[in-house]
Amino acid sequence: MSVRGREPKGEIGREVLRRAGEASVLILTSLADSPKHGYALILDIKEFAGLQLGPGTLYGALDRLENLGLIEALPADDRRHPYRITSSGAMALRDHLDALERVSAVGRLRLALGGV
Amino acid sequence: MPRPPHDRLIEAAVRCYPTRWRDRHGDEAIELAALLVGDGTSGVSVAWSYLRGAAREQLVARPTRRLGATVAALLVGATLIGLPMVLLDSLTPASADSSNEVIASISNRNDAAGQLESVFKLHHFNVGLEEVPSSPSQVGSILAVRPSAAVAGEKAVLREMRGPCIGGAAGCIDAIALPSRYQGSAEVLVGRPAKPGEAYFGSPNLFGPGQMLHCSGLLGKTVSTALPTLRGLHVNIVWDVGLGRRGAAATPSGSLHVVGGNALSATSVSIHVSSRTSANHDDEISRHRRC
Repeated sequence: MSVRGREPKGEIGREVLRRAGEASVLILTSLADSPKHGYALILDIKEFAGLQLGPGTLYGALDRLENLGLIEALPADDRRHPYRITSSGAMALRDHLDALERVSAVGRLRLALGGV
Repeated sequence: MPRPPHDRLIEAAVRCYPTRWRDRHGDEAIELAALLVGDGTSGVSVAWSYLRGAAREQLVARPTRRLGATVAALLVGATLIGLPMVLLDSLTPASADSSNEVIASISNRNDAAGQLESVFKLHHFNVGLEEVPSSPSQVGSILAVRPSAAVAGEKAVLREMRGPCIGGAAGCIDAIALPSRYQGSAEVLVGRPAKPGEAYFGSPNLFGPGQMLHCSGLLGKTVSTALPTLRGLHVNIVWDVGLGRRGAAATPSGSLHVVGGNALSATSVSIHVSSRTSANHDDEISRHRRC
């Protein structure tokens, strides 16, 4: 029998977000500045990422993120539930974006060195 | 003025979600669909997105939702072949779920403990994980949940949810639901591949889902009838001929009946035999024959 060991700080959030999928990263990014409901999220993501999330994908990702404690629903405004990023969500997003930036920097450098 | 056909298609798709989802998102989902269609998005693509989402929701849920998953699949098929929408209106999945729960589920059997651990940590649950040797079909599934003995009633609030075993047979535990404010402690045992000769945790039922002799038809047969199949397993057989007489190496009388068995390790099984079958055996044999 083996007991699982502890993971280094920062790894957990990144790993959780990686498992949650690309739509989850887009949603967290959209919620990073202010709470939004579903329709506003779709419009915002379309504007900054050029991708239109399907509503089924959106709600699936919202439920996953909420179950993971990365976002939380605010009281319903009429029929719409606005969502807000939590501190765990902000930390996970920050870790994820840091990792992406490192990969991006290495990729650009190697492209430049390769002269492709 | 008649409603556009995509309205009914979208509503039918939303009805394929579990009840809990519809209670939470249903009205908003319909409104969102109307806004998207108003912006020029195709109603069919919105409905398709909901159908795929509903199928995902149903597939990750417990077996009681399989009816819903089937209905979702039927809807997809029916839509593709142009079944009249009036028929779709009668297809509504029946399922129930409780709210305020955190569901830690396994979607990747190779990383089962990691997936559960991430959820437990995020919610600050005092739930430990231990990986124990298991039969191949149970690798990456939950084999046992052990709540702290100090807190009475904890077991009742930790709900195990069943899904497919590796290989497709139903009946392995692939998720656990905990109250979102769970304050107790527990230990979850997750199956890992057994090393050669290593004993399986819990000696699973050899005739259970995913195991060597599941649906083999051997339960209730005489030893002489079952013997060729058992020898074909190429494993060490420990015969259990009754209470206190387990461990006999010699093959028992061919007229005895096979009434059960356990997988002990990758190379060893125990086979229970009896001169006659009891009511309990008959139930087991009957279930086995319905495979």
